[in-house]
Amino acid sequence: MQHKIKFGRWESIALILNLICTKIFLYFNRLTVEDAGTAGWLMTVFTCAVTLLAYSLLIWMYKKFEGKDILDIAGIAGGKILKAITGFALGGVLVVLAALTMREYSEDIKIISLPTSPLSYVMFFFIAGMVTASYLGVESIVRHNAIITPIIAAGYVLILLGAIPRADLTNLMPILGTGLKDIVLKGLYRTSIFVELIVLFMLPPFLGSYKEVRSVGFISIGLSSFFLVMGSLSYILVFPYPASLELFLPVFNMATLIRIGRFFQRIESLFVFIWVMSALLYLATVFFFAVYTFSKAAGLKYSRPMIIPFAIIVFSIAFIPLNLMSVIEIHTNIINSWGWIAVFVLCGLIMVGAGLRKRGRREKKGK
Amino acid sequence: MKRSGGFVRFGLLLLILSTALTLSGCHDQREIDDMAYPIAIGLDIGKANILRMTLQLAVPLSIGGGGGGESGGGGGGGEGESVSVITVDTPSIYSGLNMVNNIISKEIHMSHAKVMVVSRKLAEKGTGKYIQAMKRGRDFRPDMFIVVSNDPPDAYLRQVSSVLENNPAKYYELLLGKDYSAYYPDSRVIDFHFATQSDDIEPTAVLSGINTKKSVDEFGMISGLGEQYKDEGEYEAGEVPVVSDLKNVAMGTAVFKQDRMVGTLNGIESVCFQMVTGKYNHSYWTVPDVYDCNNVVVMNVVQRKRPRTTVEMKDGKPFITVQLDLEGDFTSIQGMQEYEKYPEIIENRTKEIIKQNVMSVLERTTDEFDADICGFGRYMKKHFLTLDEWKEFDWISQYKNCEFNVEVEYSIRRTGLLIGLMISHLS
Repeated sequence: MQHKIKFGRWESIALILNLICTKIFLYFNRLTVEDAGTAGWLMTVFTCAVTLLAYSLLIWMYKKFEGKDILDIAGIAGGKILKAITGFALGGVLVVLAALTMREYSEDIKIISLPTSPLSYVMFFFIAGMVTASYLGVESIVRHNAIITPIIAAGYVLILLGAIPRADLTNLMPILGTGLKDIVLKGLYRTSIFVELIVLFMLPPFLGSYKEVRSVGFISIGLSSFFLVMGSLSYILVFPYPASLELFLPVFNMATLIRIGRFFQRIESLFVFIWVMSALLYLATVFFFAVYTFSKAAGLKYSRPMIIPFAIIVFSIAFIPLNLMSVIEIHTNIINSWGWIAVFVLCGLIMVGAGLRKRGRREKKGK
Repeated sequence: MKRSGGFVRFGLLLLILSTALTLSGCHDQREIDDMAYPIAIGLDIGKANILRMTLQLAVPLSIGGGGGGESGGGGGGGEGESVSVITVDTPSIYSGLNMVNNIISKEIHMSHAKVMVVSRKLAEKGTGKYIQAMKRGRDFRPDMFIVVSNDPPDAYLRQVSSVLENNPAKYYELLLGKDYSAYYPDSRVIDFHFATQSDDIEPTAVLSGINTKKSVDEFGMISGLGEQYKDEGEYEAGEVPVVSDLKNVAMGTAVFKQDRMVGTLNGIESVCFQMVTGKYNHSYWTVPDVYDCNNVVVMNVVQRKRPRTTVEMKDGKPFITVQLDLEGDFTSIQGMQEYEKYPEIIENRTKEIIKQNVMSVLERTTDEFDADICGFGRYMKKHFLTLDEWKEFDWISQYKNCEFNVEVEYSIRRTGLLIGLMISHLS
């Protein structure tokens, strides 16, 4: 798999930003309130700070592997076998993410806009988008991200601005919510909300220099942190506790409240527009990198023939959860609780292993 | 190359055709003309079933059919009534919608419902289970107004007629959402729902009723006779001395504890309640002339700043201080005094009256209703670090022990288009 395709810093930042922040539209804001009550936003600040620290450590370790993605590094650490294991593990995570997110989006669309359409019918359009994008390739996906992500961000900021009249500072009290222990402990494992950083570790061959990879990571984590904290904070300011625990689709609910005079109402139509764009970009990106990771791990020269079989697999996995509540539970209790192992522990261990192996080889040569 | 280009073009054409054919008739396709839009929903205790649900449906042909547009004024616009009312006894709201769908030719869609009218009887029994159903349903708007009616909603919604407005939805928006009448609060279903869930505020709703008076002969005499006046804010919905083509009157506030109605505030009490919550905009205040009890001074009073509220514990009791900052303009000085030059006398008298009224409302909320409708709990919460500590404090049961201190700042700024009456010089 040769990498003649290169893309710039902004495209990559837009890609990672959309991947991490899509969950704001789905469940993230409510999740922070479930974890830490009125201090959900403080927990998010803590989570983002820990993620930045963890990324600093990872990127420091990555310095010796300029231009290599995590699978190449796994190859250095443990040969083809470790490369394959890593590829299948990370690819597996991405496939599950694509399937569950597609199911959740489709169920949500059924609730909001298409109540009588069959679920498979709604999901078909997402699958069609994912397959088309994957056939067009990574360059097309990344360029679309660079154009659409700013539009999504602007729409989201517009919703936040519209909700300002409903914000009440007293909703932030008691300031420590369910307690400092929850902020710290739950804040630590909620670094899993950055699970999509896996994709960042697949990007280096497309980005080139170490400096570029480092800055893309820091800027995209920084921007994502801003949107995540703003999302949680605005949600808590607008919806009083404990009612904030019961709302499904936090941003949609926020958009329904916007009312500026008699003429500027029902702004949720804007929400549906930016939401579906964000979903399509997210699913296309995750699906492409899932196929790409599997293909690379299996040592295949081309990944295109894998697109349709993977689309069928993703479509089938999406139907496994019994209902919407099961999907939300899997997202909350598994992916967003244990995802940090895939991003920080697995990638960290691989880099440590590859570093030791490299040093061993150098010492051997020296002798 | 040429051949493969042809294939791509053919493929694209096929894709466009299949998309056009499948999506244009997709599952959720709906014609606006095939839908029926209720403007108001009424809930009451039923006889044949546990809930009596009344829908006031918009009749689009009558709304849009009249000449002269929306402000036709008095004509009613279309050829028939702009609304049609239907009542069913049902086990729940959605079962009721099922039943109505069996009667009318169009599918009911609640997305344009502007107001929910609850009978006083049902409000006293509890409304929570019905409101959460509305909150869960995607069709219902969260910003619907919530009104408690002294009369059964089926009778109330049949009496509501928008004489000055062809569009009944606009009528409700203008009537219940206006900021130039402070005699009832701006109560929305979403805020009501949040307040029923909350442990730092209790919900309120607009109090409304049908005015049955057909002639001025039916007006009662003012209590003391003589020259004494009765303040217009002392009335509640249904008692207002008015004869009008418009039969419904909104006046006062329905007070709830959690989801059960526990009492009412009259017009002037509603004004004070909104002053304390910072949602008061402006209204005319009538104050007796300090030197001449036969005359009054009328001022347009506005809230200059949001009130400053502090809650602290003193001797084991919550002590609440509310600082109101108001300003006003003279709109009428009936007597001979030159209050324009010496407004302090009227300012002080107004401060006293406002303070008395606000204190009286706050004391009613503790002594009579035991319901923190002003949301003082929100200010108390900041003294606690965690939600567990706050829950342990149990604000709801502490509220009845509250003591109040009300401070009023009031300045008269303007005198209207007159700066003095020459008649006072002559006299």
